[in-house]
Amino acid sequence: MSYFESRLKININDFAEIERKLKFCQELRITNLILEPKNDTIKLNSEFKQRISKISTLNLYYRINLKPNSLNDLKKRIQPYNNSSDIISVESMDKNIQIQAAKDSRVDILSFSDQDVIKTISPGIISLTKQNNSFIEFSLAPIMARNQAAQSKYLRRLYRAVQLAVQLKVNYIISGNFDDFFKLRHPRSLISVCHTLLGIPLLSAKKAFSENVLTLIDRAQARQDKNIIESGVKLLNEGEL
Amino acid sequence: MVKRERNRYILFKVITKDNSDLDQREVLNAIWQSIWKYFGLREASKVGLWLLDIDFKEGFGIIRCSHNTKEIVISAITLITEISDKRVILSPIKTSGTIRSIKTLKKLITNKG
Repeated sequence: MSYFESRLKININDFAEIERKLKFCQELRITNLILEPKNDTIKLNSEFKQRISKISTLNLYYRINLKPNSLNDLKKRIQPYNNSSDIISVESMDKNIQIQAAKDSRVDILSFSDQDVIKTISPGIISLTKQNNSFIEFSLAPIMARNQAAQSKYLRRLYRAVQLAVQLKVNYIISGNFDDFFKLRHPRSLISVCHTLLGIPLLSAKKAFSENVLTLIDRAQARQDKNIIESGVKLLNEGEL
Repeated sequence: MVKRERNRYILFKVITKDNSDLDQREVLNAIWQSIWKYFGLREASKVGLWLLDIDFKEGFGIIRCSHNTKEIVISAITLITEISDKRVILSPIKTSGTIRSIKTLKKLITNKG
């Protein structure tokens, strides 16, 4: 089974850095990667994607992370991505934005990656996300902090949030989201960390790094297929079965 | 009859910044410290850790642990970020129940480059 690193931030203006990051991932034997531009307002064009795919043998996917300031800002920012095949995630501390994002079918992920954002997770948001068949995201980056007090504080917050998600049986993914090269880890290693430190059952942790991410990618790609009316309902052409 | 405890062999990659030199003892101490830090005495006593082989030139190492604590050891290795103030990654590649298969895999990887 191949595992995914679901979030690797890239600076799209610095191609040399992207190349170095991808090479480093290859050295770590990571095979599937989801790249995210650091500047959320930029829509990735196919030319740029082709250029990246030429320099790497990794399976690459793309996501856009929106950090809106208000409800109107969310509506404005999400509009260009109506038919985008890229994964769209929303990250905000504002409850109203979270609720709107959880209801919006264009939003694939509600991200709780940040140390402060993770505090705002609630059963209500999880329930809305579940109804919309979208995903909740957690990140492991802050647990690599050097400051032990900050590290344990985040671990506690993460533990509570993850246990809530597991209990309520919502679809969730876990990403590394490491900025620093020397904090990058192979997803299989992160599965062990989730299992031992966060108390997630091993199979469930593996699912969060593989199966769930595949479902998420399919969901994002299905947006472009006009024959798909809603999840599980597809118009078939004559003779097609 | 008492069942013999099974072992697991973990092959891991060693990546250091600027290819800085490390000592075998430093690596082993770092792994123990990480196990102590994150899992405490209770788990550390069950681990049965043994550093079998470490090759800084090729950048690979093999450790042995009890099969029950495999995930704990992988986590501990993963969470190591520094050894003697040098930035380092110890990235587990493969776990096996026999030393022979781990050594074969190591040979395969190193020959491939």
